[in-house]
Amino acid sequence: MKKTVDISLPVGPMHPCFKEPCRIKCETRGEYVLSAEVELGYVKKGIERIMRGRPWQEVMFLAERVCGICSVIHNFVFIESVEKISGIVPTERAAYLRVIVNELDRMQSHLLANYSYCYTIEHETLAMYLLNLRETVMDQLELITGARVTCAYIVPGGVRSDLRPDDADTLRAALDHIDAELSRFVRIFETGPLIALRSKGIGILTKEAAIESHAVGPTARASGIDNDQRSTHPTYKALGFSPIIRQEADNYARIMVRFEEVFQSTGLIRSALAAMKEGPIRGGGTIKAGSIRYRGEAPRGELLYELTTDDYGRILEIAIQTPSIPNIQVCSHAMLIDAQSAADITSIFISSDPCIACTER
Amino acid sequence: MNRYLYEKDLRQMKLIILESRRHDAAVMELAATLGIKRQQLRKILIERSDMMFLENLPARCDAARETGDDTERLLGIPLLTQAFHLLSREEGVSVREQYLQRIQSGTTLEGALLEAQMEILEMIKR
Amino acid sequence: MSLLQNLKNAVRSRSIHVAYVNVGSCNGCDIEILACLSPRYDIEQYGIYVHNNPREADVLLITGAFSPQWEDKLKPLWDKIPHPKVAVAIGNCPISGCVFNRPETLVDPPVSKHIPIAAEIPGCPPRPTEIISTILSLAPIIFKDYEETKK
Repeated sequence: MKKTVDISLPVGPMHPCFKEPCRIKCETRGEYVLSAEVELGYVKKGIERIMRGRPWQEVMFLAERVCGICSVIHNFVFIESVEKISGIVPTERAAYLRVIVNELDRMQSHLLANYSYCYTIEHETLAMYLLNLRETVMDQLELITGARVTCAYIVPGGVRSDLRPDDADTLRAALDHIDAELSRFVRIFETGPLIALRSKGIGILTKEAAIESHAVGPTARASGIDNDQRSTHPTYKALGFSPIIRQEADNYARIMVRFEEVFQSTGLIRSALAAMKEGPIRGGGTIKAGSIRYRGEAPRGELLYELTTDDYGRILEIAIQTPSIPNIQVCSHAMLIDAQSAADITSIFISSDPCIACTER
Repeated sequence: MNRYLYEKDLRQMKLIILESRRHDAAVMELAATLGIKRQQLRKILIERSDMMFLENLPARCDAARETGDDTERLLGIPLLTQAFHLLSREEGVSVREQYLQRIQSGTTLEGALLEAQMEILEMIKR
Repeated sequence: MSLLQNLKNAVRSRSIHVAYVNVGSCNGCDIEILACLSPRYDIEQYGIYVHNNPREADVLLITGAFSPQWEDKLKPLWDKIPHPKVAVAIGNCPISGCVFNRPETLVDPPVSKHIPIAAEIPGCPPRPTEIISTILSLAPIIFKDYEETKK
């Protein structure tokens, strides 16, 4: 009989596959993973503590810096929750522009997530293709907002700058380019035997475990849970949005959900461009006192802001629940258990699109 | 058991996680149901759970609140078994059955609740 | 100057191994480093290779304001990098703490308190081209005639 030993296997905090520092401590029997726990604290900045008692003009920029990858959605949800408190309604053109920028941000985030996954399973060619395609999206984001990462585009009552007609044409051309290129890459991913072998049937997340841990976003949607906050957002409703759901619940399904959502995003941007009419992009308004619990759909899932403001526009209390928190927790306590090989630990972990900066704030 | 390299005392950082607003609300809620102080529950959680689990407590509580009947919610069993993982599901079921038995055998509601709380605390500390 | 030293200078200028470490940033700078890898910027045509292993690295890129967990870890990590080595701070965070350096915060900038920093790239985040040009202009200065000047 093969001799098996119990090993404590730490992965991280610095690991070639991880974009960010975190430490997974696995208990293994041979290659078989028995249990895993995650040690955090490497990027804890205490953003919620800094935000307390500051005017919204400052908190807006801090909210954006909760996460650099999905900075637009933090801006989006924070501003919309402040607007909801004060009864400000954005102008129609601004609402569509917000959707366009948000979807561009989602596209680059999903492409980056799939890049990390392909890089982790050592398919560097496909990873580089995806990373190069992401630059096309970043160019469009820069064209519209003026910055690549932290753009602070959304302000109460509207957006910061308008989309010029020739920029809209550039955007349409870029979307066509992305659709054409990405369908080729998806075909490579779907049909490549080495990629499918390392992805299908690995890192199963059952629906019960996902519900118990409150998993959100593509991780939950790949397990057959219909949970997308965009279906309740008025602008997305007007564009006819319906979430993408898969049933396989493995690494492959999570990656495919992200690919399909990129195609969905290009469709949403096209219909937003078509539905957009000329008009003002900035309304006015004053921030009033009140408290709210507001949800939005970040690239990684449901993002929750719970905040209280006062009459002077200061943020008295704030709590942010980012999508990575439940996703990494369910990944480390449900998906990693029963992994057949220690080599799968990193690929399973990356497939849930972990963002440690979001998790710790 | 082998020891990890670079192992560090994480209690301070776990406490920082639990001090956050939503985490504090979740801990206060369970401490009230169990009839113990917040500090005692925090100590138990810091000893039992890893950092990722602590970060996810409010979301797990949100998911757990939607399950269970009125009796279970009064005793805090959905939170204990599903969200905090302090009791196993079988223990949760047995606590509920004993609580109902005590009421049927003539104990007052408050008395039965107190006894159930004592029983849960015994189970947690075991 | 010896022939050997000339040879070493020539080789080193086209072979720069990079590791990056996040000591508490928001990820914005990290994804800009990742963007350098993409075929658009093609960092490898300059002989820069990113593989995130401190034991093989020449250049350590540091992002983020300093968070408490790194207190006892960054210095050992820096010691593991073989000589000649250089650390580059990317973004505002390692320089000043950027928006995070406020009352109530947990971070402890600047990073230069803990390890020697040779160059700083301000920006929130800096562009990938700025990161590449800094590495390219810094590396020859630091690595030139390393053995001869060490004596």
